[in-house]
Amino acid sequence: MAGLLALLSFEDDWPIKDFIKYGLESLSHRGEYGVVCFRASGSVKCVEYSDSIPSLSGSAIAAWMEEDSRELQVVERDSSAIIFDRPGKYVDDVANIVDVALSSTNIHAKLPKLLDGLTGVDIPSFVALSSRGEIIAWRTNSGLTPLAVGGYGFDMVITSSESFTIEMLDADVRRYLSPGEGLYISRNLVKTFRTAPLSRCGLCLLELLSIARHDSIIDGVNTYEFRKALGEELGKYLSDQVDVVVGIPETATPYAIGLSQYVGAKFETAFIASSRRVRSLLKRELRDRVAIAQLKLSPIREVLDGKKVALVDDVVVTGYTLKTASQILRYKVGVSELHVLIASPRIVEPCPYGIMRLDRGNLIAAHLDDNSIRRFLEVDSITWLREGDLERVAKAFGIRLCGRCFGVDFIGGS
Amino acid sequence: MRVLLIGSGGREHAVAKLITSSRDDVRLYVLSDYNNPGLRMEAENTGGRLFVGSTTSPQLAVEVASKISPDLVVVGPEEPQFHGVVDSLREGGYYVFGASTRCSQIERSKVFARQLLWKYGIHGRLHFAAFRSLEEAVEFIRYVGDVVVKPARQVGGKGVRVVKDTKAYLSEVKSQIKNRITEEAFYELAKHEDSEFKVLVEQRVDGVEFTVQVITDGSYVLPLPLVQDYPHAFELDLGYKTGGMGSISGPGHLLPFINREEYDTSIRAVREVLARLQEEVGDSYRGAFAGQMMLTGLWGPTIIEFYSRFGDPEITCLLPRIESDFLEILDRAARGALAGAKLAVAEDTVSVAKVIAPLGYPVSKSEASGHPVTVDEARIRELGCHILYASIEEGADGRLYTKGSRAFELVCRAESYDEAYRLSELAVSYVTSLDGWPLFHRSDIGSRWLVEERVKLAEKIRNIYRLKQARGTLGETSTLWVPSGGVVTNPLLSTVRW
Repeated sequence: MAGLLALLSFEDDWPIKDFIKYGLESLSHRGEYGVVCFRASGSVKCVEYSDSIPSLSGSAIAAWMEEDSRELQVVERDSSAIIFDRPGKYVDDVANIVDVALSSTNIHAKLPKLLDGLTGVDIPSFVALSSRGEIIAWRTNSGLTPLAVGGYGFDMVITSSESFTIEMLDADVRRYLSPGEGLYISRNLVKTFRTAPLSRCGLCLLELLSIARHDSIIDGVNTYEFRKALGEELGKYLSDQVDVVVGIPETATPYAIGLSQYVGAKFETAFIASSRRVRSLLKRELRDRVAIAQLKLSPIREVLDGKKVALVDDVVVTGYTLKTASQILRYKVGVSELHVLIASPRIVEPCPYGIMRLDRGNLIAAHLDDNSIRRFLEVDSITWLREGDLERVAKAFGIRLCGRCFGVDFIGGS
Repeated sequence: MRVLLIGSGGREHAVAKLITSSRDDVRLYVLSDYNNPGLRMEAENTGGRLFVGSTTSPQLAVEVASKISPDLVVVGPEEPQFHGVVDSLREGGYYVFGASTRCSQIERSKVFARQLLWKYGIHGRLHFAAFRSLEEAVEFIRYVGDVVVKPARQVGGKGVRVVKDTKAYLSEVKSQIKNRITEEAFYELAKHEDSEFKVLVEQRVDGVEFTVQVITDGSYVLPLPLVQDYPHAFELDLGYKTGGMGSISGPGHLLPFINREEYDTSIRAVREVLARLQEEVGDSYRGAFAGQMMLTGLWGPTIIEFYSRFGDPEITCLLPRIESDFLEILDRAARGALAGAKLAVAEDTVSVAKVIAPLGYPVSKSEASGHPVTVDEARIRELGCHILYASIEEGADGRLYTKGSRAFELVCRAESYDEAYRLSELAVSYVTSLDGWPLFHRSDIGSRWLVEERVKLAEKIRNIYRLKQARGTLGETSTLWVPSGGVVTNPLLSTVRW
């Protein structure tokens, strides 16, 4: 899903273009298309982000998203523009509501009532900008994706999908919005408002497992610590003696570190990425996924040659990243044993909320049993983390997670 | 006892309430810049009255005093002190609670205050540089690192902008802003001839702010409970710097995030400043004095600013918690007979104060002015809370009108922050706008969330400064080696940030 960014400066003199630039850069692992919306001659204009966008002041909203998502997630109206962090059935209705609210007064009181009119439906998180320069940032009522709020001294408010972005902009994270909570931001007033959260809500497990950066904190949970804890859980299942533990770069690194510390085998860097960080998870074309895997899997042969290797990854979608890795390790490097450990259960269902836009046909675990997967990957064993393990870790971190694509409704809880 | 109170706002209303709750038979007179209905009622209820006139005019103050022959004059704000109101009244033979012009330099001149801290090596001092000319300041600013630029004179808190500058990739735009702030500070101070230095550049520090207030007669120092004030205009500590949108205090003399040792260190620093200040200016300090402190990783308790008066809304926060006869304490301080005074506070209680402001505050006074509002005082009293009138004027039609600044202060006392918070939020709902113009307040002040956030931050900072304390390096910043430039020891010029 997209990484959202919204920024308002209380002072006229801040050139905010650099803040948008570095903020978007920190969200670039969330897609390949940057969009920025700003005020221009009495209305709001959205353009593809590039260094050549005009200088900006006052306020702006922006996002980094999948290449073909602009149509689905950016809605421009006469007096406002809105960017959603994922597609959704009701995005047009919400854009209309926000547009109406933004043309009135007392917006922070009116908007929640209007949004609550869409009772019981999942609405994606969004940031909106009005032609008067006001911003609305709202976190999805399903709680699936996060939104953090930060402040830069007395001068700016920044909201972002990742807490890291706020820190990167030299600002301080103030709080994470709750599911259904929004923020109205103008030069004259900043006010939080609440809409009813869905009765069944939780943070997307994939966000915590895989999408957010290791240095982000989501709803108070440090993603690195969470990932390392899952790696330790995996250690319980590793029955074979291994020489080294390696992770698929670079998302799987904390899992591999957790596992290696638990089993007492060395953690090694096995692969070096050749290009900037791109998520194969976000790619729908098989060839793209393999290409990305190959670009990030240049092996350090001497570390692994002839060794018994435990290879860790965060999630398995099509299995093609792992397949690429195993081919490299088997045939290019020449490992003696290869055990694959996955820090999550099997993904068996497509995401009903539009977070991961893959249909069921692409999900290897929905079609093959472990034996077949093992043969496809050419590995000695494959181990999945179990739902009970995830449940325990999620509870220890006090977080409730949506696990629909893993075939369970919710995991953990505070 | 006949008392003349000089000042116009919420702080004076809080002091007025403290004065009129004395065991003594009080007759209160007020000299205010405008017809503040809160102050007028307090005065009239005691058989006194409110005089409208300039509070910064020494002649007028003496004239009013000669009419009513007060036993005590209490001067609330700093500007009358700067303008010689206290001095003239004392010369006229009145007992005055309030800093003299010479003593109030500690607030008026930020450079004087900092020079004093460095001259006497007082705990919690920050590195600074002060400039008389714009060219000199702009040249220096080209090389500075992570600093705060301030006007060198107190101008009602205006002009202070904190440009945190720890990311090299954003430094270029930040330099532009620092230059602009410097120019603006010069422009602002051109209006005040009483300041030799125009701009101050100071180390920027992060941390948990708190206010130490004391009452002194020049030799005896009586500390009041600590208060935390919330300067950001909006919720989640976002937006403009204001005079304060609310405050919290208690339990006891501490705050949930400041421990006894930090309290003692802060009081020691304030005592020492008071002693050295009087030596420097050759005058006795009789009045209220406050240190705006911050718990930082550099020093632990660190001095940010001084006030030669009670803080606003800091004193408001203490109003419901003070059990002593406050008038007696003010009177003894004014007469130089404070020795041995004790301040009884409701130890096991806490208080939450909230400010209500009209939309437009603090940037557009014109938009925020002239809106009729109404207060249901009875309902607020039922909750056990107090309402104080600040930037509110009674119109000719008898209605209350906003004057563009902070309109009201509300304060509630309870045994827990949860309860004081609940009461304060209820109390806020009894103030309403009559013309639909929005009023706003910060709904997060006093909430469990915000208190806990401060506790967490203070704990983190405590770990950092204790390490420096153990190594004997409190207050020291590391020296820096610059390639082809040698060793730089001035922390203002450090290009390495974190």
